Amino acid sequence: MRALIAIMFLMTSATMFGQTHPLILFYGDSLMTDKHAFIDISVIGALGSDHVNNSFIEKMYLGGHISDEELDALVAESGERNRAGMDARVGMQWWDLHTGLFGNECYRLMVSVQHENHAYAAYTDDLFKLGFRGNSDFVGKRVELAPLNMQYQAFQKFGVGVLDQSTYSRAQLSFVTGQDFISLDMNRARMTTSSDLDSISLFYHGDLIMADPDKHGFGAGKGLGAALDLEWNLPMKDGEGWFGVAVYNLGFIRWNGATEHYDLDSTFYWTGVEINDLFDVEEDLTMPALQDTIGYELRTGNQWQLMPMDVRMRMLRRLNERIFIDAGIALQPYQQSIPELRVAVGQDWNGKVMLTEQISYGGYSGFRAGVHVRTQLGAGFIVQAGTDNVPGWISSRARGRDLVFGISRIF
Amino acid sequence: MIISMRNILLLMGAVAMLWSCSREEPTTWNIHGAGPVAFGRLSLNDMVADSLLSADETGLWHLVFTDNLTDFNLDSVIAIPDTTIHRSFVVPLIGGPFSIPPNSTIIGLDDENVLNIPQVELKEVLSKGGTLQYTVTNYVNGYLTCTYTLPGITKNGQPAVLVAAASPGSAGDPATSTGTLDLTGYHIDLTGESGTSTNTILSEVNIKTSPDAPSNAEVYGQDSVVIDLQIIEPLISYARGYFGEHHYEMDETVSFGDDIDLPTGVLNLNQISVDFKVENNVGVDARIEFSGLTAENSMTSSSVALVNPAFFSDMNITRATDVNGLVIPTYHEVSMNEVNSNVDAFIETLPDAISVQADVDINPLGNVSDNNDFIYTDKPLNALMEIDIPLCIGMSNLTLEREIELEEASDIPWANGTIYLKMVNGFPLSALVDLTMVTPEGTVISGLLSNAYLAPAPGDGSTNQGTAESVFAIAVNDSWLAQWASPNKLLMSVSFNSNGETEWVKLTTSGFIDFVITGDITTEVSVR
Repeated sequence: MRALIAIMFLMTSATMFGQTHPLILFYGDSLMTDKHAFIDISVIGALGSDHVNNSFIEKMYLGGHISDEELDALVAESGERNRAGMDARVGMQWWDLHTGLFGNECYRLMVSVQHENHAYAAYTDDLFKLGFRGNSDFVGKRVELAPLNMQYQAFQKFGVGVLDQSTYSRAQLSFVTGQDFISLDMNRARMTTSSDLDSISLFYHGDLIMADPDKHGFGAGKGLGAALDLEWNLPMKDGEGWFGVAVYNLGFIRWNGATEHYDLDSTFYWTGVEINDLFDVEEDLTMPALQDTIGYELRTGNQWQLMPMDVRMRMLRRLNERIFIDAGIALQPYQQSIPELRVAVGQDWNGKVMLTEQISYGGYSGFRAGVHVRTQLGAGFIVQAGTDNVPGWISSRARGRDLVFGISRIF
Repeated sequence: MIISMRNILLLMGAVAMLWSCSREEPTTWNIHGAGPVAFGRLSLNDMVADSLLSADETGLWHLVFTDNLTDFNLDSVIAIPDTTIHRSFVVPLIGGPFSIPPNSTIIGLDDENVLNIPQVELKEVLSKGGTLQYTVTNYVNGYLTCTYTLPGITKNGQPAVLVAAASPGSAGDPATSTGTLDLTGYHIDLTGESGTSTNTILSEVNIKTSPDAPSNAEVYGQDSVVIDLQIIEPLISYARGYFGEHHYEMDETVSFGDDIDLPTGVLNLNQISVDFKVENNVGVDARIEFSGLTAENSMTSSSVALVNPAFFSDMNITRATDVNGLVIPTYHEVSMNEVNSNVDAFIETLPDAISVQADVDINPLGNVSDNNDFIYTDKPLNALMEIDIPLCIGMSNLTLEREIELEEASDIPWANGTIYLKMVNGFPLSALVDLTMVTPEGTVISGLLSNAYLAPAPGDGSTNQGTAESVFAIAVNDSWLAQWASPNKLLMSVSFNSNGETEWVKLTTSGFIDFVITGDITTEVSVR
């Protein structure tokens, strides 16, 4: 239950896999020419929803009582189809800036290690109301519980790639170890409580996949896979900007043979516990466990699963020496997010400090306003920090919260 | 590398802290749920023990109750008391000392031992317990082997043989040797050497110097060996002989309230019958004269004495027959009904005990069996009463009470709302239902239902005329939910009423009460 709730609500919006940041694209030549290496450590985490707010998410994750007023408001604000999601990544990458590859001085070796978590849930308003307000308002009515889509993936990537230092385009192939995978897809599901309360019927059709439930924890190694990360940066003819296209996590994980696949297709009819002897009810009046009453067929075996691919396109252009714009679109075709559009306006103080203010819409959330700062410190350090959702850090009623932090060193 | 490992570790530590935010309390929210909790069907055999119910060909339930009013305890008649047999054997010599070499017999003779069993002449018994303890006291200055054979006490055809090795003794300092024999399973022939005696055990004594004695025995004439046999707590499973003439006065009270959870209230019965039966499995004649049979209700302090001339006449009970171990009992029966007795009033008392007074004579005609009375102690002479009550009854506040042990509702922090109990009554009886939570001492914690009226099905039960539905609402609140835990109990009381206590309704196999328990509750969900 907790795991499902965690999947449902601890989720990410934002397509947080930022493309090459403007500081490198605008000042890469001066920063990296005749240097030995570039190393970068970054942490990215984001939660988002077009329905539930931060107060709700915090309480679901950290504990606490969710008041009737909060839940009533969320029920009132729910749409027919609601989304929530999470993306998180911790990673380190290293570029060799000194040695060419394949006879080309611009091609550089790059390696990276990163851990990623991705989760999403898309659910109906009826399901949310049933789960958090109960079925009392549905007596004599039908509750539509589907479509319901929930998924959680966690994995580690160990990548080797080639960087074209002339454009900072790169291609990287990663060996992937799967840590965990849970997926629930209900195509049809509905519940009905009879008017006189003497029966509850539940019909459901869908499937649940759980990777090797006997293994737990970081680096559990429940599956193996491979992924490509591609990023292509094309300078504009006038040299004042860039076009960019990127694809991340283009790959798969083959979850191991202990992966459980539940075919959920049954009608469950609950009329209460049958009591054979009203005067000796101790033995009879024991509620059956839910897992004992749900009808399913279980099979185990390998599961090939596409990774949560992220496709991005962007345009970065200077308007003058101080101001630039950075606009783009991000797609996560295998997730339940919608395309995310973003437009940022940046201020550049000679590459020493770059500040961008951004408006975005989409992903798992609605409109958001964010701010990012990138700055060079002494001795080749570059630090970046920011958020796509400033209100998320201010208001408990905001829907989502995210954070980017990175530190790089060129030497 | 200029970025130090320390800085990387610091950064990683910060990330780990971010990831390790842990829950300090569960996530909770209130939920308002509604739905079924339980359902079931009560038929009469759910309310009354199956063993007491029987349906006739019309489907009418009968309450059939059989109880053994008394076992006439004849075991005591043939009980063998604890007995000690003291025998002294003297060396048949004069003078001495005589030097007797090893393995030489110095005393050998047969002997009969008579058991003292007053008024009873037993020819044989089968023992199911008890101990034979023997003590050999040796006044002879020599190692002796005493062999005491009991040809009449056999097991699997083999006689009991007691062998005791005695060390040398003297007149002033005799030597003793003891041993025991478990009598379980032994057949004891009490006809002695002649085969016609009674209460007599034959024995054969052989006393000789021990074959492995290190030296000769120095024996004087008149030296003796004393053997004591003790029969301790003998138990008999079978006996044959003449058991004597005995007279008993019986005054017993048989309580059965604990067995059948009797209701209280007013009951009006119809077509009741009581069969009284004396079953004699013992090979003795008997004469029984009942002087009283009274139904007693300790709750109401009421009692009704049975009135039936045939029951109170002398009953001459013929002896049973033993055909090679197969006992063919004899019976004496008295049938009572509402015409020839007051059994209806007797049973309507709803007795929890019956008292019996009687005079019993065993073998009133003397030894007419030529010492062939017999008894298998597990097959007694007993008096049975079989009561058959067709459940065509009238009742007023006939009340069944049950206590239900409570288990703690530990997963429910609080709840408010209503539990609905819907009952569909197929019995032509109305009922008032009380449901009360009480402490172990009986103090009322909360009255959940009070005099809730369960409507009767239409008709008198003769035909299937439909059902009546009643719905009861039980308010759920924190005050009683918090006390829903052991050792508190739920006390359920159902008082049945027909349409007037004199109007009979039929309880048939097609009667039932369906119940459905539903809830409409607000409570808290907690996820850890």
